[in-house]
Amino acid sequence: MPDPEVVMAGSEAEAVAAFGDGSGVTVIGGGTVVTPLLTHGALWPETVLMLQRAGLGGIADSVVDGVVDGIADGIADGIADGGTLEIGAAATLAAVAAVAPEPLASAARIPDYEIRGQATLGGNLMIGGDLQTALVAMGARVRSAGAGGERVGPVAEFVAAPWGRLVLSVEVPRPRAGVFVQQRRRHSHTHPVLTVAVARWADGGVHVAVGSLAPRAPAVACPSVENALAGGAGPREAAAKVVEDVSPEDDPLASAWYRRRALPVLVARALEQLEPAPKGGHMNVPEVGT
Amino acid sequence: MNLIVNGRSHTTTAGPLMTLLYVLREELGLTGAKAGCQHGSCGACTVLVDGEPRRSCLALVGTLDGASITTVEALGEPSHLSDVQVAFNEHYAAQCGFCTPGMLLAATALIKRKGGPVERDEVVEALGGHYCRCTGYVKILDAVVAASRGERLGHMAPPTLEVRGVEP
Repeated sequence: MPDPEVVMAGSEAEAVAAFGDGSGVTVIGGGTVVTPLLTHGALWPETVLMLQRAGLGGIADSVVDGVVDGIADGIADGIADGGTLEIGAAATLAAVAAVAPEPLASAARIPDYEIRGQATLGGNLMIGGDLQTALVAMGARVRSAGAGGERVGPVAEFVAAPWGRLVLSVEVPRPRAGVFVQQRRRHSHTHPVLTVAVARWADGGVHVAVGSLAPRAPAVACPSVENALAGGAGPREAAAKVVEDVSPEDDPLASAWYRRRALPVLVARALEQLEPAPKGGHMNVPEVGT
Repeated sequence: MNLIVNGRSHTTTAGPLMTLLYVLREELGLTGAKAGCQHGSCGACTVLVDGEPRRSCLALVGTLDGASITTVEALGEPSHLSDVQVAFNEHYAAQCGFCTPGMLLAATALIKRKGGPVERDEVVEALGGHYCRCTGYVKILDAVVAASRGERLGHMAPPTLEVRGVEP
């Protein structure tokens, strides 16, 4: 097989042109996932597109000196009065963790300093990583290129079918408060067993998203929980509804049975941290793998 | 592609999809960075890229043109160890030694970032991606905290470098 053609894009336009419709192209943002596949011959693409010099690593804040510069139309139903962040696809998780509001900051704080400094937001979205759960709860929108040209759409739709798209940037509304809770095994580099993100908005509404329900499963919103909260339910009562919104699966990290049992506990814990309730107490998460 | 490795300029003949680990070990003979898991999971290949700890097994040559690389070979010498190396020696923080180069570089970068004493939880955070299969973690934490405080026990002689099996 011939060596892959390597394209080091010098701008967003160059990256989009080199990506085309994505066929035969492997994109390297940070390279933390793709590099071992290349090294071990598990991946041998026609073209490798590198984004490190494409100018996609910036993070722009619409709030400067306390003044909201502008809110993109339709973001999260217009409830984001805290402004937005526009985060470039090649921004590292370390950069995201340093400036993003919760729950995104905690989701980006994956437990490995070196990987955080190299892995990117765009790459994390493409592999179904930890960040998508927070981004779904925050009503983020993904700007991407590919067949049919540039497109901007809700992150929940993007992560459900990311193939053939090149992430360019992610627009993240800033909620009033947010909490990210996850259940992990004791190894820095495994996917989480479960992730939960909750965000409270200026109008008092709460968005809830859960992820890691199965290998590479996209994060999903939890309307049953949100509706229960809107109807006056407490954190634990509302969290119990989460099983109506998800279909967990078995994988080597945990069984579907475990996930169904642990998920309401984690959702309740996140909601209680979001707005500490006097009724809330410590809730034990059952052991993984039982 | 041109790299500055331990202060010396090196023009690599490796292609853009080869790793920095390959260039260091196979082209330059710098075997301090260990080829462990080669998936970015174990930390044994960690070097400093422009002063920041990075996995050399995950760093593609094509992304490193002009970068400054520091490997464990440049941290100190047997007769003049760096502060972190002295602390590892005094606190018995190296057993088989396979993880030690990566630990040393990540710890050196942490102490430089902090610019003063570091707490144990900061060391845990900074070294969270480094595995010691001898499980010598407590001694490693002791050593990094001591090095950050400039503490020297002074009970250990500097190690001597003994080369065996090499024909004159």
